[in-house]
Amino acid sequence: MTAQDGASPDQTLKTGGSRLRNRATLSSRIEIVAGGFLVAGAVIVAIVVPMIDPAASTAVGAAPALLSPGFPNLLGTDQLGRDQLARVAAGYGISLTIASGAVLISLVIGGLLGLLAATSKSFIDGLIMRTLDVVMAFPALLFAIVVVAIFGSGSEVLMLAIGIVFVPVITRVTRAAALETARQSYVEAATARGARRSRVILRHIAPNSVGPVLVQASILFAVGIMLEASLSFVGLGVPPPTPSLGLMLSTARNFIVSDPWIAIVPAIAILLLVLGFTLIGDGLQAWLDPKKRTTAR
Amino acid sequence: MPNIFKRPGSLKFLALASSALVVAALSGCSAASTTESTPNVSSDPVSLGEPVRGGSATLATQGSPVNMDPADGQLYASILVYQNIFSTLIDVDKDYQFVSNLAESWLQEDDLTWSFKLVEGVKFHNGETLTADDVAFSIDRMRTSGLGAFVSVFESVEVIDDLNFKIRLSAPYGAMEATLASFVDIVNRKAVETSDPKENPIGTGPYKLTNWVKGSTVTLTRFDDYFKADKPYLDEVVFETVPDDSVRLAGLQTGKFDWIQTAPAQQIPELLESTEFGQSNSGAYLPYLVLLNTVSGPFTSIEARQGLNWVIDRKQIVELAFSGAAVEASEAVSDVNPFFSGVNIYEGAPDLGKAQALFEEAGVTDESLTILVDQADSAYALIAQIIQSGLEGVGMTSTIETVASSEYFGRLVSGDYDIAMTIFSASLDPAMTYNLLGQSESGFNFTGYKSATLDAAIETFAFSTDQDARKASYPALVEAFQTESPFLFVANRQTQYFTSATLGGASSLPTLEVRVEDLWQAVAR
Amino acid sequence: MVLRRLALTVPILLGTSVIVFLILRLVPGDPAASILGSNATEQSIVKVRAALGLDLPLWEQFGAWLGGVARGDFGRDYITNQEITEQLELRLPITVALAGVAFLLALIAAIPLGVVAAVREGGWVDRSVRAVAVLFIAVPDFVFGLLGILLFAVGLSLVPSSGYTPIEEGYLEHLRSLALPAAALSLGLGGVLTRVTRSAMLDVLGSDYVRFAKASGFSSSSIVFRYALRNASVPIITVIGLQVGYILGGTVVIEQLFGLPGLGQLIVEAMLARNYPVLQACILVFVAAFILVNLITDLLYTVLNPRLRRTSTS
Repeated sequence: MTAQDGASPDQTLKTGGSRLRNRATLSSRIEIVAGGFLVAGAVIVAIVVPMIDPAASTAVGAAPALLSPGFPNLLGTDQLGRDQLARVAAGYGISLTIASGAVLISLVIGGLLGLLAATSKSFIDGLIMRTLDVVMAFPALLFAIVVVAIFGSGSEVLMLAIGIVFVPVITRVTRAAALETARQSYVEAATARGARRSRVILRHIAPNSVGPVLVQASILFAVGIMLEASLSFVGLGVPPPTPSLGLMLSTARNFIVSDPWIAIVPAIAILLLVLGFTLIGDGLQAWLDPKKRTTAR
Repeated sequence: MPNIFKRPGSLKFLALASSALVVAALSGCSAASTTESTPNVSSDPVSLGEPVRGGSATLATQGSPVNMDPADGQLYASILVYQNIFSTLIDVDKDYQFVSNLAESWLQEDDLTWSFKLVEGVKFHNGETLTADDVAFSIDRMRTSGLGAFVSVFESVEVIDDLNFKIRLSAPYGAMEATLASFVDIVNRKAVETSDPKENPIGTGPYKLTNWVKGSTVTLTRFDDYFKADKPYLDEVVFETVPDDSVRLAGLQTGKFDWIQTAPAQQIPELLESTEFGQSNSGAYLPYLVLLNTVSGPFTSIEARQGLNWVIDRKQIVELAFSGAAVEASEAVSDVNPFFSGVNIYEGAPDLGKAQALFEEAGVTDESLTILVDQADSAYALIAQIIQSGLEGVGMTSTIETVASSEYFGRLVSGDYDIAMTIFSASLDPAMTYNLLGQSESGFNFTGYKSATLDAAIETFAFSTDQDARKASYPALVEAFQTESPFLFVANRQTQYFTSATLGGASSLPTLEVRVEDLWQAVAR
Repeated sequence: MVLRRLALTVPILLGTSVIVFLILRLVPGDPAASILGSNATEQSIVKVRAALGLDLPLWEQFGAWLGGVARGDFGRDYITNQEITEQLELRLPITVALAGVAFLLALIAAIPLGVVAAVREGGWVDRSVRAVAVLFIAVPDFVFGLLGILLFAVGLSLVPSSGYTPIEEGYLEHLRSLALPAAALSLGLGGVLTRVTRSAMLDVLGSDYVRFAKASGFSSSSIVFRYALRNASVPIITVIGLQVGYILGGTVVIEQLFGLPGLGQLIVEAMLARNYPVLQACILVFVAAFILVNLITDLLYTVLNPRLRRTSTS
């Protein structure tokens, strides 16, 4: 738990005393809670609303088209008369599913690669890292487009595409954590006693890596949701009529002058969800490692 | 930590002040430009006065031309532009009357022979004079090209002298004048033989091609020796490709474009009421139809096809997919067309009960269908979703596959779909539509449906020259097609062009031609 | 260190071009058939394949393509038979203008804000700057773009809601057509830069050196500008390199939203039309630009951070 204890006494002096440190921890807790609230809200909406009326998100003509928010359509209706709340709920479901799948893929692949890189000979380590450099040379959205170009669009492909984009980051984090663990004295002690270096690292790496990985994972959720929305927005994501928030925004463009609600609703929906994950990531980062006061994407 | 530093105010203040200035400048400028762009001229074309010569106009179209060879007719986007570079023998006006163009007069001599006399002294853009030989050449090369199916019944062209010729048909053809007015553009033999007709179109039309930036703009300049002395009015016309509906409309609103091909349907009511913009007449000239794969899959059975007819809610399609800018259709033409029959054996659709019964009879239940959609037109996706929703009502699931145009046609040809959405822009005379889409041996028969009954009905209607008899036999044709239903019509879209308040002469025509020679700028620019 | 970095760039460029090249070869469907469309017969397919060089071994095709690219020739596009290089030349300036303005906007806004927030740490200025920064990071750029259109274009008529005005038609109009798209694109970078600037400044300002300088009587503004910013610029530059990737990717969506005919929109069009040669060319250009920017930031980093010149970390 050494990494999480955070500031050394020197650090405390620099930052002006425990009062500030407590404030930092408090604000980071607020961020985590606020973010968690938003994410939980989205998850609840995604699960509960479809249970009320499973077909509402694709029921064409169920209500007059282009209604503003009111009753009974709490968030209004879209240009085909479908309930916006149902569509947002379904859109949240899609976004969360794809983002979760992507993060999972990246955690598994990235984690394995990171451990492999850290515990192998420098040749393999170099090979892995240089290959990842090539992947990282692609702007994220463009790489996802390349994958979609090859494999076609659809939820699974999107998960794979976005997941691969994230692998380099997770690999680096895991590798750094593993290397950090390797530097600990107990590892040296264990290897001196004859245990295999890689085994020891694996056994002790968990505490060192959980923090940074969690932080990255929340950021990646946010980025993943934005990537999925971007891809759907330009028409390369899940095909209609499956409601994706990006797709809803894209079709809303034509109506923005006459019926702005049809654009505002999905816009705010995406905003809240991404904000939620970003806050969680920020808060975790600040809490676990107050010295580093920022998270970069 | 106590604030140990003084305010670093100056830098920040400077930044704020300069950004405030920028914002002020932008808003000031925009205010000025909005007042400038609202002209005092009323949008009613009548009050624009008489056409004046001079000026230019920028027309924003949805697609981009790819090929200026009228024998290929590749993509409506190309046709729209090159129809102003070439001329046809006959033209059609808003009231479906055939008027003379290159052909001064014509006569149907007998069932299989039509004779024509050309206008004298018509010049091509390269200085050559139009002769009957050019006409024969044009028609001959059409037969082996992209538009060949439309002239398949033209057997030969007999040149009598420079101005007179006869077209001999292999069968009597009721849609003769309509075909000549729609697609048969006359090229110059010498020009085609010396340079690439796809890139260098030389015609007798009111405009010459002076610049073509592929994918972006086409610039046409007045042809001074145009055979109609008083036309064209505009000195220069620029066609600009703007694929996005909203960007096109924005361009009209800011004065960048003088004419736009389509506007987002939900903005149309507002546009119609506005005095800032003009509009052409509107006509429901463009049929949207649903093709069914009759070769493989569930729609090989006639009951399934009829069942689908009972599922489709045309009213909803008109309201939701076109925001009302269309009319329901069960046949190729709408009531503006002289042939319109009004026959609808599925009166009262949607009727899910009847649909369900028919599907069960066909043994088609619980199926998963593929609906193929061309990504080029946003209306297709909306129609597809409406059909999908209807199908769900009878327990059938479907997936909508939106593909690019190039892939779309490939899949149509290879039969890789169950339901496909399309338009058919040749519906001046319904014979053109039904014959090409429905005749067993036709190259455009994407549904793969072959039926002796339908062929016979087409034969009676299309291949007779007695226009009264044709009119009488048309309802039977419509009913036959509705019964066997290899494809079904859902709506006829209103074609209406919106213009700046100073552009006069815009009209929407049954051939979907954009006749630029009629346009003029009331305030010469 | 510098040489090492330069040397690494070559294999990365090569690696990315292999991936980009493979797009065309891995996709389903036959390019010859899609060119010919409904005219595709067995014979014509064979002819077209030969003309396109598709019957050569894969590595030969790659070499030919790469050689062409090195000469600036990206080949011809399948559908319109236009030269791809021409299309790129037309569209590249638009994307460069968009990305450039976005980048500048982010820098101009973020760095002063970050500095101010660091200097007045803990106060309401700091808190609001941080809150706004988080919001900007969390809002996807096209969401802001859409809301921006609603507010600034439709509501206030300050800027056009879409479309591009080239410089030839007026400098101000050109900027107006780019204002909203660039602003939307700049948000993510702006938010991150603000935070990085703030944290880097805080680190430096809290260091012993600064406290000593303060105690010795140096004025606070000279400390901030001469010493702190310079040292804080190191992490700032590192972050810029990474974030440029998001700006580049963002142009794809923003150009689509605002109808700007740049490279980003070309990628989407090419994707939807299955126009793979064009897609390859565009992606290669973007990736090369990204690699170049990262190279520059890495080099700047080593220049500004003397410690790294002699040792090699990584």
